[in-house]
Amino acid sequence: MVLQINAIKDGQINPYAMDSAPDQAVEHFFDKSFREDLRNRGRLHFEKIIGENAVFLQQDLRLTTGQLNDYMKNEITAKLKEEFTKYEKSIMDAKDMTMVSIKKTNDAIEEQSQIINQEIQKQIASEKKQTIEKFEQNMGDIINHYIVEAIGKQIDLTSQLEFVLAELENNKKAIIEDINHGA
Amino acid sequence: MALKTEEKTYKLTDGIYSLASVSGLIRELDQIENKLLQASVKDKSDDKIAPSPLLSGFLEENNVKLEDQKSVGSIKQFFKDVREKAPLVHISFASDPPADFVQKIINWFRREVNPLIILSIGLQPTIGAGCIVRTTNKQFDLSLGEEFHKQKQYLINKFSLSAKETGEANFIPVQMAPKEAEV
Repeated sequence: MVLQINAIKDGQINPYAMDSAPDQAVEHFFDKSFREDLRNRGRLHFEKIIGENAVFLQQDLRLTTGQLNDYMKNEITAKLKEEFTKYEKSIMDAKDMTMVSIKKTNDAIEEQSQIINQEIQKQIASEKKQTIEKFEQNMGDIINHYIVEAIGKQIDLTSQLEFVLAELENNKKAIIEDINHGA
Repeated sequence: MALKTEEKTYKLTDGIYSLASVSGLIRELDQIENKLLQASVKDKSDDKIAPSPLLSGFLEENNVKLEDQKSVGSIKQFFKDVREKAPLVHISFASDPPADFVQKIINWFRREVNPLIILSIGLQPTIGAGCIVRTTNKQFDLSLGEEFHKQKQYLINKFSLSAKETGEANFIPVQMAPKEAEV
């Protein structure tokens, strides 16, 4: 019994003290309740260690998670910023191209408008000129006809003699030519 | 151009200007010839020959006398030749010309163109004043209407509006023209 007590002092097994103890004594000393007690103590100790480690692990995990969140946040922010920058640049480029295209279209429309306007002006001027010329020609005929009708009956043939003779004189050469050489 | 009959040349008087008068003279000469023939058969020279004023003028102008059939025949042949071969000129007036007027016209033609010219006088009221002469192949419009027609451009220039007045330079669309109330 003393041996057993010496062998197990302060809850620890002294292997020197047990070298000489038989197996039965060991069996007797480490009985079921004692083993159960040891097991409980070990379990508690193990749970304590596990709990401590879990806390540490939890803290570490929390820290890691925080760092990971920060990292992800920074990465995503940087990536998004980069993408947004590219997107903004693309939009600006598209906007510039659209503006240039619209400006070119406007210039072309303006140019076409001017050309059409000039052409219309030209056509209208031409039409107007032709109309006025026709009007003037017709008006000339009307006036001539009116004058001939109005004064023709008033002019005595005798007073026309001078005019007729002068006109005959003007055409004398052609008249002689035709009479002398006509068929 | 002169028609000769048996070495004798005659001159047409101004009174003999138409084919009708020539034909009338031929008929008259036929009658005279018949009378002379009858007188020679009857051996009488009682019947006095009284030529028309037209024929008298011709005889006087050419200094010939109707003494015998030969002289009458010569003159008649001359008129027949005139009727068939003399150049014919058609001349139209707005109204029927008086005899003295026609004689001045025929005088000009025979003096300036051909001494045997025959005129055909026509009426064309539309010419107003002046005349239209038609020779063998040509027509000469010596009317007032034609003269006006030649001077039509001058008339047009007188009553036509200037380019500034017609607005030839710039066209003002109707909707942009000032409204009547605003003028």
